[in-house]
Amino acid sequence: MAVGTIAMKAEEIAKISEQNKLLENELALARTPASYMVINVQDQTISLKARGMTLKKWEIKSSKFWGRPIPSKTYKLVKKSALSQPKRPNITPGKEDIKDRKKTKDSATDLGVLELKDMPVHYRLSFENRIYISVRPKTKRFWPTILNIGKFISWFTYLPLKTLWLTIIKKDFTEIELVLPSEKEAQGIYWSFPDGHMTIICLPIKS
Amino acid sequence: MAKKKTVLRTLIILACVFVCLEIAGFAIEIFGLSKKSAAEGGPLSAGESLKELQAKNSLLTNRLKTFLPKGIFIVIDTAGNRLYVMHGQKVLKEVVVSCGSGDILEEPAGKRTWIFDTPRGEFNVTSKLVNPTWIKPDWAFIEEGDRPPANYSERIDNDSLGDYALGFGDGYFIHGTLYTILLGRNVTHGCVRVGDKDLKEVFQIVPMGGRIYIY
Repeated sequence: MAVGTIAMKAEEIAKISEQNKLLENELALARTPASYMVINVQDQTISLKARGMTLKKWEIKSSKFWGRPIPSKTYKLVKKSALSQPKRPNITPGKEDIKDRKKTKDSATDLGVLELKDMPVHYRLSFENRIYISVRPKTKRFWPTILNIGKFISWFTYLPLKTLWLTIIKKDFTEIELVLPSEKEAQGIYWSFPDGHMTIICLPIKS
Repeated sequence: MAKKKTVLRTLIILACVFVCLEIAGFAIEIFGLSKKSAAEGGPLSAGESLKELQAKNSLLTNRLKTFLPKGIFIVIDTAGNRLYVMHGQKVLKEVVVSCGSGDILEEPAGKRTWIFDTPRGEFNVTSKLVNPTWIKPDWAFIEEGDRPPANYSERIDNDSLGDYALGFGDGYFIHGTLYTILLGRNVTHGCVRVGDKDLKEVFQIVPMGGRIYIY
């Protein structure tokens, strides 16, 4: 009974300690006018915040980890990479479609602009200190499903080899995979995550 | 036959090497990780009691609350093309808008390039204008295939911005539109277009200096 109570108290202490660390990190970010992300794998959420206020929140369906455990703190997003990066359309001066674009009535028409639907659904976020987050959606569409299968296979084949190689050259890394409920949510995160964005990453506490 | 056997043997050896490497990688992940976890483990709260931690937690939470925007403010979602007028956690009004197209315009035979994004971050309402006049910048002419006029009066446009405009710096405005059918799409040159009726309400509710958060 006493052992159980002590274990519960230790767990609570660990939880509040972790929360306090997150709050300290967030306080530092909330002081600046820039927005920031909080990837809280423990709570299964990704939040875009500014001044301590949540602007947008996404749910994480499931997650996987590989490699070095990392402390919950602020990391800088170095690079976003995707198989097909969205490309900004170029305007040709004087071309007729500029005027047509202003008149079009069909909401599904491709207006030659960069919109949420043009964002990738599979991508990788590279943070400082060799921390990588792969994002993929839960989907029923054919090609994204094929990509998901490929990602699943590579997780169990490529990552052990990478671990072995980096151990030999005395380096380590952290790989996190986040599965989101839908393609739209994956695209929303890509849209809201500009390079250089500060991000608090919080992984579950290891018991 | 002998050649086939050699190929088969090589393949089996390669497969064995691959499996060994995989096992080694997995072993490092499993045993190395537990070692690291143990090394990084230990008390998270260097001697602090639960009560002390809880007190610190509420102090930090309260401190974070001091940064929250006060009064009425605007939040703009450029991906969803939505504008929210908010007070604290409460959404006072949700409006369908048009944000930046993300297009690139290059000046023919020139050195200038424009990227038509709605800027992101924290801003303030710096001006509130009734019947605003748009002084057309160079890109507005170049985009149409025309040369920017030297005469200032040729740049004046009294129709495009609608009845009201809220400026938020660097020439960016929340304003009206002639192209209401495009509301909900990313089609602007960086400004935020709002339908006439909604714009009037937003203009009346949001005070001068009110915060604007764009993401």
